Amino acid sequence: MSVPWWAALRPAQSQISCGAGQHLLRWADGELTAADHPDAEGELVLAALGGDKSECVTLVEAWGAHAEDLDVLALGPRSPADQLAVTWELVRSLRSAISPQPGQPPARPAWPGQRPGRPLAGRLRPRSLPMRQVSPEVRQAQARRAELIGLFALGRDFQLALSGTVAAAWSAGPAPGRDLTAARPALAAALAGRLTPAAASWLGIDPEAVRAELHDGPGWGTVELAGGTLHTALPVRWLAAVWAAGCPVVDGHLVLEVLAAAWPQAQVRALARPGAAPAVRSIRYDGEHWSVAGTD
Amino acid sequence: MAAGGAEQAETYLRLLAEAELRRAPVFPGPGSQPHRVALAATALASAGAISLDTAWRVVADFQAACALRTAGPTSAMLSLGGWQAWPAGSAGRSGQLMAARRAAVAFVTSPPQPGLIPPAPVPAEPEAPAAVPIGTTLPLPAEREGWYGELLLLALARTGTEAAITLATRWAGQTRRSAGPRPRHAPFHEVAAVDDRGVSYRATLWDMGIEDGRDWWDCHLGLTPAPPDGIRWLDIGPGARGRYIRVALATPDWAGGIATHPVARATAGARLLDRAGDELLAAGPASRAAGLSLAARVALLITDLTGSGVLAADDAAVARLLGLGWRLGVDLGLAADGRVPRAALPDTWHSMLADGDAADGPVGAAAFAANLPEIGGAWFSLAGLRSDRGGATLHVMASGWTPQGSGWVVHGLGPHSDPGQIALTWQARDSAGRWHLISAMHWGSQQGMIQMRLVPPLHPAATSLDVIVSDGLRQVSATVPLDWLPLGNIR
Repeated sequence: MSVPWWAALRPAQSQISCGAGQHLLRWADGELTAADHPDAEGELVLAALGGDKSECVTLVEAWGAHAEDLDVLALGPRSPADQLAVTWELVRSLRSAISPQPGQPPARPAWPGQRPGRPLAGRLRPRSLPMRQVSPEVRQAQARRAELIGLFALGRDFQLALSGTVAAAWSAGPAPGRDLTAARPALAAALAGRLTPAAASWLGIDPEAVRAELHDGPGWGTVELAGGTLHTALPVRWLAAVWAAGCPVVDGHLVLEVLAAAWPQAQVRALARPGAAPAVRSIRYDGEHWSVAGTD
Repeated sequence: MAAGGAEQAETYLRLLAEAELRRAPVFPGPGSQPHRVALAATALASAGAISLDTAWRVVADFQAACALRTAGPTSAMLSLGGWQAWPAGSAGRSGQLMAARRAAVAFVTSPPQPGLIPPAPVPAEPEAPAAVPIGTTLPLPAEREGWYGELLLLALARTGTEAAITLATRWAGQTRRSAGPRPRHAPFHEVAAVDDRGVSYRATLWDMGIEDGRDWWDCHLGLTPAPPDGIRWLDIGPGARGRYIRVALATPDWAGGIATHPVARATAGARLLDRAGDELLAAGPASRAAGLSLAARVALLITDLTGSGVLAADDAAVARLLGLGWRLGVDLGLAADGRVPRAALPDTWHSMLADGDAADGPVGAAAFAANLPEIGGAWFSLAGLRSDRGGATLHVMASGWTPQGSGWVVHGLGPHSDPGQIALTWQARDSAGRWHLISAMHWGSQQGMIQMRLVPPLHPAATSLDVIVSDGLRQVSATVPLDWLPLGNIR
């Protein structure tokens, strides 16, 4: 049985304002849960019937709705140095900007991949701000984008986890509503945007000298240095299992794949230099960084 | 597209966006100086390599990603894919391309406006205009400081709903010797028209351009309403001493010729590069395009079309453009030398290279009219021309087509001088063998009137002019006579 894509990812948690209090959201083992809402499913049913929906449950629901959303990879972080300037204040501002006009029904986005039986309730409250006349489709898309930015506001670890979630979904192969051919340019860019800075830092070369492509076949891919250019080809799964775990480069090794893991330890296949044979390494997260713990 | 396909082109654009995001994650914003990703998106969309929807989605994602890293405008964060191109309705093929291009222009020149649905264009079926020559001068009464002007009426062009008289106007003289200097603006004496049935029409001067003290202004009189069919003549005036000029509306016998020929098929990418070559020759490599020198913009165009697989690096269109760049002494980004054979460049370019600096044009005006058959879903009437030392201004009434640009003076033929419009191309060749290209278009009225600036100037010995319009499938050429009405006789 293959290792789950999230096995090397650090669990994450964040406190958010929910109702009158501060509640805990946790992400671990590939799932986001609202720790203070043990019956989130029941709350969703009540919300669908017209009841209020808590912020925690809203975010959990949004997480599922964006689990295959390529916008996550288009907008999300690329490298440790790449920080998003997303705050809860910004999220409130976005929500306010796209709220329906008085008298209009709230947006009810219908996301691709939305699970049957889990309708999205009227999270958006009517407000009195003036706004441009937009089509319902555009309004839904804006609401969806604001919702995604709200997920980014949970923090860096959640951004990585959500990126990994999306990459894992698209690396899992064909599925209903998942057009791999149409998504290929976006996936290629998602890989290049994240592999390029990692590979450049690995060899200390200019990112312009890195070519990153999707690897589709069996095996981990290829990494070759030729004519001053580093040619790399790795699968989309690398984004989920390696990059999202924060270990693309560990102690001078380019990590190619995770063979086994139980955070904060992992066994990985890694390259010491281009053209060398990949070696199996044990790595460990020491609280700040991943480092090589041994050779297997 | 030639080689790579839409997937390769979109991948190229997305990788470019990644590189730009990595290089400078500042919110760039579109506008008069579109960012690199928008320029590439426009090029690939113009070449038909990607859809406008894809172009918009990639650029919107890029702008949103930049905004999220720089606390940029929330409008950019919410600027989403889902290009809402202007519906073309029943417009012809050229009109549909134009609608798409309008969407592209709005895209690269507007700030992010999430959710704004552009207004729909008028989808009316274009109506063929008809023009008749005039060739008469209407002297005007004295205006400021005793200066009096004159209108040299060249031609009347009209459809069922629009009508305009093309003209050249100037200050012709002064009644008081001691008065002030000549006004820097064009004469603005109000005239009107009356038809043979006694119906009056308002006549409004349009497109006179800036107040720069020039000798002649090219403009037109828009007639409201448009004279209906069955009218035999119009009296235009009053001018000096209450004089009117009679314009016969009957279609005259015309000695010129109009021919339609098929043209060799070329890919949209190749046509785009050929268009860029025309721009380089007509406007000059140092002219501005999308915030860059035209040469730099064209270099990016080549980079994007070859890098995305739209055109091979050794494509004939690439080679001839590089050969042109070598001859012009400009760096277009790829290695080129004089080995690009002379025969690889079209006759137009050779002529432009040879005569581009000429300043020997005849000073005069030609009052011709020619009605072209449909081309690219649009209709055109040629309605006179004024020539000077540096070039010539050709008047055209268009139906179903307008030049690209912000609506007034359009230098270059694309969004903010971005060489991207390839729906129709215009060229001219005079009877002395000199080729001419369009260096600028001037349009601003509602009558479909366009002034096209031809460069280099007409040959002094030219007696006729072939005006050639191509839509990539066919070309229409109309030969118009250059029977010069002398200019410069001050009364």
